[in-house]
Amino acid sequence: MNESLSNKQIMFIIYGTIVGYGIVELPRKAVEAAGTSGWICILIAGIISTFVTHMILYLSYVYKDKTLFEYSNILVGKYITYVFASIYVIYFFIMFTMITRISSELIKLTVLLETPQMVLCIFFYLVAYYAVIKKIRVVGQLNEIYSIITICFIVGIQITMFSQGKSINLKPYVVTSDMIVYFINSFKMIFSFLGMEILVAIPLTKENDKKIFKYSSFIIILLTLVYIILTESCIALMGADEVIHYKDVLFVAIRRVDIQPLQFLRRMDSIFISAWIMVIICSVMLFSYGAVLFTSKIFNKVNYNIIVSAIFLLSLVFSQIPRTVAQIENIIDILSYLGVVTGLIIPLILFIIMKVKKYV
Amino acid sequence: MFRVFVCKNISKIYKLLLIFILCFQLCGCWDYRDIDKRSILISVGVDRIENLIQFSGEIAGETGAEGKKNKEVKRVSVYPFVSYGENFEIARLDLINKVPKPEFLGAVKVVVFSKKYAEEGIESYLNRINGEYDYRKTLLAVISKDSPKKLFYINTNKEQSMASLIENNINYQTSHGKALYTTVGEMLSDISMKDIGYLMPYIGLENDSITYLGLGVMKDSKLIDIIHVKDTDGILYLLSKNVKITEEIPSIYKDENLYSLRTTVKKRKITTNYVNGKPVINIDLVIYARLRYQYYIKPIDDKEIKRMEDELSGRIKKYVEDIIYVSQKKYKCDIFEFAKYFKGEYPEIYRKIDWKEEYTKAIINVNVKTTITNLNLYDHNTKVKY
Repeated sequence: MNESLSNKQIMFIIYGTIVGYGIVELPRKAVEAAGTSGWICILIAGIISTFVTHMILYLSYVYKDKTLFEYSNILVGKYITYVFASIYVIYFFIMFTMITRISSELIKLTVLLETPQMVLCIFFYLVAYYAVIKKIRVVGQLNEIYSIITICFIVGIQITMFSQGKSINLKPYVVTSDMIVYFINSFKMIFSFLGMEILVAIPLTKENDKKIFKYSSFIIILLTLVYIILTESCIALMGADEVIHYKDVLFVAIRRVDIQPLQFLRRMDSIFISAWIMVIICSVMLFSYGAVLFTSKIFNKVNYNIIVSAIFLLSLVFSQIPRTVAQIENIIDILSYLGVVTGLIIPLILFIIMKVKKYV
Repeated sequence: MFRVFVCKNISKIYKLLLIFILCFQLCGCWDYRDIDKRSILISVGVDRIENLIQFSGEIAGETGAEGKKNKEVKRVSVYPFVSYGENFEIARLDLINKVPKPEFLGAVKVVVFSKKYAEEGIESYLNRINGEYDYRKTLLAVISKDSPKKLFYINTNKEQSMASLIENNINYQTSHGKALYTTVGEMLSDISMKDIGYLMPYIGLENDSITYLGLGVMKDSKLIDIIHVKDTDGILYLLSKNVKITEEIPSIYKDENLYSLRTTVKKRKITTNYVNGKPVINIDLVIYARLRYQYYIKPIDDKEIKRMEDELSGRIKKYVEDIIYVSQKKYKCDIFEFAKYFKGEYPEIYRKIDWKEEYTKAIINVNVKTTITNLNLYDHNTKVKY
């Protein structure tokens, strides 16, 4: 079976992991960082994110048909590679576990008030399990379909939100005296762009030519635009002073959209939540694939299917450990810092070593 | 044996499994309740009776026809409810005890606050709506001259609900530029800004009919005044998205003749400035007017058109200036969202000043330019040439 992915599929994998649970809170974070000028922080974070993605992709591009586990072995040796792989396993595992749990909690709090969160977790796991057990090809295909659907839904809904908002709420676009603050706070926004680290688990093949860099740049520019539209539409609808109060601000904003001529579509949150669930499934699927892949590399003698089953079972158990939503949020916040290690520091170390070795 | 059977019939087994799963899918959620098993609230009223909160409203009744063959068909559309409690939670509990089925708030069309309750402050109830998942956040909120309970009970046995009557009335008035349709979401947004007030439709019973009576002025979410409908033109020229106001201008001949004109706002531009420690608000209105008819047909020349335009401009300017003056001096509250414009243009100054205080001293410049765009295709100057 061909295990390679096309440039487009890799592009959507970047989309699938970056856009995740965080989008419901993104407008709040942007407004917290820079008020109505939050779009500047998103733009700066998007530019930084493009460079980081290029760096990871470049490693995979140089070492064709290899994941981080293999090229790290070449660059830093076996023992450090095991340390790196373990960090990635821990990161990906906790990430997909916590995303599943917090998403289930959010669905329970907003839509399915009576459904136990564990049942919702199980449904997320079932879809992700199916894809992961079929390996990268199915993961890539499913992610591609879901991503296209969600982009259409999200952009459509956001444009509708704009039409109902007030343009005066978006002003001031920029406060010149605050420019330094925007730059400092942009680094906090980078957490919203984390997810590109999954690329360390996706090998590039001969089919993936230099165009992959264009594709990745395109998707991050698109994502930055989508993020800016998300933020601006929420501000237009609710005003920056109110946006800042809600952890699920995107849902709150969508509930304030009322299209009177469309009687059966007056409440748009049900449509949005369907798209959002697809986004979550993409994230869970890709991060769980990352965890499974590196675990199977570390324990290469254990059957792949057994590893998949064990990881999902363990994840289900771990997902039930936090008792409150605040605890889950704390874990995700701490994990974001580990995301900087996995998304920036480790690839940067390997990138520098690769460059140095090239000239030595 | 079993393995061979499975291998041979794998596609059939998949189809059977699919049908089996589809059966579950088609029956919906396992704990769903049919619409007739729920008490669907379509309006909610909030009032204060002595120390108690009073919830009243309407519940959608059994829909469809009731009765037997050859007998008169009886339709029950809505029935009212009322409950009491020291606070929202106890009043809700009282309601739960009275309704026969689990209540559903997603279909509520309007929330009606009594004048008395609005004077005490409605912010807590708006926060309640915001926090309850069921409620639509785009819900219409109005203040009623009469107690909400009276409104809902007077409507007993009528097929159309009071909720629909109120919603349709305000909707109609708004679409024709004569009222403002204020939703709970918009009010929450204004409340969060802290520096501004907002307006709410004020309704009441007049000759047993729901009537739009004007706008309630809300400062810190408390009703401080009612602006009668005939005095709301200035507000509508400033805030309405779809202004259509009829103005009558006396004829130049000083006779009984009147010109009936319909005005619309073509362009509304609000800019701000900060001069000598005072905010300056410049309002530019471009008004288009259409002559609908004259009471008595007389020739109209360009000079007369110009006179009408000037008179209309002056009149609209006065409406706007008067209501802004009232908001500055009487209400001491920015009900026109000028704070948003000032904040947008001078964010650094806005952070330093107390807008509530500064607004009362703000200099307002209103500039109105009216153009009569057509005379309704009627030639008032026709001369017989034979």
